[in-house]
Amino acid sequence: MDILNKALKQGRTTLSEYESKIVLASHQIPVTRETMVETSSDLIPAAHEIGYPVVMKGCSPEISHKTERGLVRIDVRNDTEALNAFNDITSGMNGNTGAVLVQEMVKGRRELVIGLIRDPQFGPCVMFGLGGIFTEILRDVSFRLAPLEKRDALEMMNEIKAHKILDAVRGMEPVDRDILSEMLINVGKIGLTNDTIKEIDINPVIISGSHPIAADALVVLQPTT
Amino acid sequence: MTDMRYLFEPKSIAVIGASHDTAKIGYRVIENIVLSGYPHKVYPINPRGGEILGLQVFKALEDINNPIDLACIVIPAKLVFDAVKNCADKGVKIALIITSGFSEVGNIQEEKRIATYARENGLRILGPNIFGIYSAGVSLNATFGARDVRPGNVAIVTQSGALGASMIGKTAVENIGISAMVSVGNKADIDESDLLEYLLTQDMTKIIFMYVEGVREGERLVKVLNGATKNKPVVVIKSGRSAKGAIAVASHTGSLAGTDEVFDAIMRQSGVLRAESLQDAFDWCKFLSNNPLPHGENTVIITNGGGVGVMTADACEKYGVRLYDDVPALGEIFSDIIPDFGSTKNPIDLTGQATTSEFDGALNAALKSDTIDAVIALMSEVAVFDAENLPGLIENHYQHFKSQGKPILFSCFGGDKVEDCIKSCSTKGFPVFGDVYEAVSCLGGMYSYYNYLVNRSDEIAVADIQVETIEETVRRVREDKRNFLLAHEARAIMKAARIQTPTSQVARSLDEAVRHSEAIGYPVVMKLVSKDIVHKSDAGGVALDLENRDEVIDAYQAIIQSCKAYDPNAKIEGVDISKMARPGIELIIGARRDKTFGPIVMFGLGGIYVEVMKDISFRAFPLSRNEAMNMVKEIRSYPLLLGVRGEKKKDATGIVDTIIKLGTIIQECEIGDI
Repeated sequence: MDILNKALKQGRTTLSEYESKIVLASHQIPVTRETMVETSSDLIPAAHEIGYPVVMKGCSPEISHKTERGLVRIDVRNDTEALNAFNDITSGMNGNTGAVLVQEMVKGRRELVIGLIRDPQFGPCVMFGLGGIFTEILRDVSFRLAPLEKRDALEMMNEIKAHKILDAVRGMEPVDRDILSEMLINVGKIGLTNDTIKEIDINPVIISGSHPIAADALVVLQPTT
Repeated sequence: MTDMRYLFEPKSIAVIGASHDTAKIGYRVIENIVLSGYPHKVYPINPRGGEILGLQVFKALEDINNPIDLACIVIPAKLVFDAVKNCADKGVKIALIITSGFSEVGNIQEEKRIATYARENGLRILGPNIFGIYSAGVSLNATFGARDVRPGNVAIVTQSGALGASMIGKTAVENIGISAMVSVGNKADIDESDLLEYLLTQDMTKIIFMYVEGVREGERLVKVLNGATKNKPVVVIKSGRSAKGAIAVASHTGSLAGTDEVFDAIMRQSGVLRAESLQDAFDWCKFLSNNPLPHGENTVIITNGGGVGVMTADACEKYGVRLYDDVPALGEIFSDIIPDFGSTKNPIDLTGQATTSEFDGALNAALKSDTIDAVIALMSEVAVFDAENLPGLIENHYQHFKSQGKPILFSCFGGDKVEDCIKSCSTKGFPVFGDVYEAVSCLGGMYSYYNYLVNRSDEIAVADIQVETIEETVRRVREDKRNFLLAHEARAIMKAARIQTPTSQVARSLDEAVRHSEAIGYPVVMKLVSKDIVHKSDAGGVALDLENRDEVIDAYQAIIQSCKAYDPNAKIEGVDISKMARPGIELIIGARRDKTFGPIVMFGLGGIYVEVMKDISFRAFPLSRNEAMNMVKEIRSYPLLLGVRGEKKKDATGIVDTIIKLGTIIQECEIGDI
């Protein structure tokens, strides 16, 4: 893929969120609608195109921990808020190359994680689990070696301790397990067909209604030898 | 109350239903009593008279001229009531009803009649539906189980008769010495608490093992257990973990507090060691009753094989055994003994060339060190290993370590010589195991008890709450014939307990909803107020994060509409508007009156994850502030409270205060759960 090669040629080992999501979307993984803007004059038309409220993120291949660096604004509701957010984010990026990602704000209280790791012995493995702040704390995750069949994907969902979160709980709809299965299977395929991808981290996958959507993503590369 | 000494140290025994027929339980019991070497008077009772095993048989209890401490009743269920009456008339102190066929098969009335009569006439009852009692102090085996009981220092209290009876044989095989063994059966009168009160003061008993199915009078049991574990360890197996029952409970605290979770938490709080398998329970009993408690937590593994060393380190992590990791100090202790290519890091690796003499040196060094508190020695039978010297090495070091108050355990792996060594050492009561996990499980059990003793406190936290205000609110709700409170009522109670809640007001119309929202300030949360709908979010009765007038209007209409659709007959009083508290982590703090254990408090992760993750901790109330803090630290999501991803550290003191306040409300007021 061009994006991967281009990044590798530039000597980078990570893709930006925007690039990562292009890779995911090209493998039929649902991602948030979003646009990159570089100037404040492009910002307002882009925000209107997506529709308020939006999420705005400083997007740079050099910065992988956006939240910790204060480069994320959620729930931006109008032009004034958008312009303020744009100024804050661009000055916060301290001269790192990049732009501001304007993104639809996906509403949903459930956050999951889907990932790919390339095990040095076994090859590409798909990970599934609780997302957001819970991923690192609870480590409630399951793994499968790619390629996955649908049965594997469904088993992975049931293997996490908190699997009931996928059902109809607290007035929320059950998660569409068919879509979620496809996402897991496709992440595995990405790993199998792209040796240069070392890791993928889609976190959070937000459940909007019953639909899982990749709200943030990171692709880590390894130079081919 | 009759003293339990009459049960464990009777000066005379009558067996009502003693039989001439050697196949009957009535014969077996008297045979066991006679052959166990009981030194005091035994009176068989049987209307046919005659003689059994050389003892004169009396036709009736009243024919005996001497006082009777203990009567064993082994006659059909329908005759038991009259026998109990006779016992009471005769002034018998305790009747042991071995006979079954009472509440366990639905014959509840008859059991009640017997228990009531006994209580009113000063007779205590053990059973019915039991296998009897064994008491080493007076060489008494009044059971119909195996005869060959090894006297020792483990007391066993069991609810299951068959399990108890078979444990007599099993403990003999496992070389576990018994100080007393009692089955409580249907617990018509005497229960675990009565027995524990006696056993905790009995010198011969060093550890108590209980098999429990159901608990009655849990509050008393907790008090007795707290007293017991101060003096000696208590190991419990409780079966029926999975039985949850389909009782629908309205509050989250109620539905989360499955009986087993509560039982488990309370046992830990009381310093009781809960075993899952009989094997663990036996291993722990044997180890804890024969070995000194350590003086500290520094454990060292000494091995001649790298693989088992690593496995043991894994096991230590699993069972909470702390490995001593001061590398320079370990180097100083062991460097003279260990070959250059070995390791003085824990596990201490003597390498495959080590023989018993290298082990001897390393164990002596560990024994002499003041900083090493416990040792796990691992012997793998490799080519150069002199397995024939193993039993001597083990015995020698076991005795030395024991005399210096330092626990040591051995795990040996190899062929016939090693297996024989494990068997012979085990027979002598030395802690020698085949599998490292068995060894470490024992040491882990000992350390949980050790840590309990080190950290336990009798301090009880109190909270200042306005009991009258709360009682008044509750009284009004009861007059309204409701068993749950509406949001504003619950808030009144929180206020009386000085627990902070978001500002809020009830709106009875759309107009009021807008006005309250503006007054409180956006963003707000809107929640349905209805006596008929308890689960508001299921009914679509909750709207979060309302930012302005338009959103409030939309939300109001949506809530009313979907709640009417959810339950057309529900009486809707309005909506509750409150300030949206954000951002943050949602927690749940609850308290309830458990029907077995009384007031309990709960803490855990809240919000949408409550039921799904069940990341919660429980404690019996009252408790110390320290223990309430332990509850907070116990949940898996605790690191979230410490602040992740640049978030602020949360106020744990506030959480502890709230836990104590809610516990106090439950304890002081007539409220089921919060």
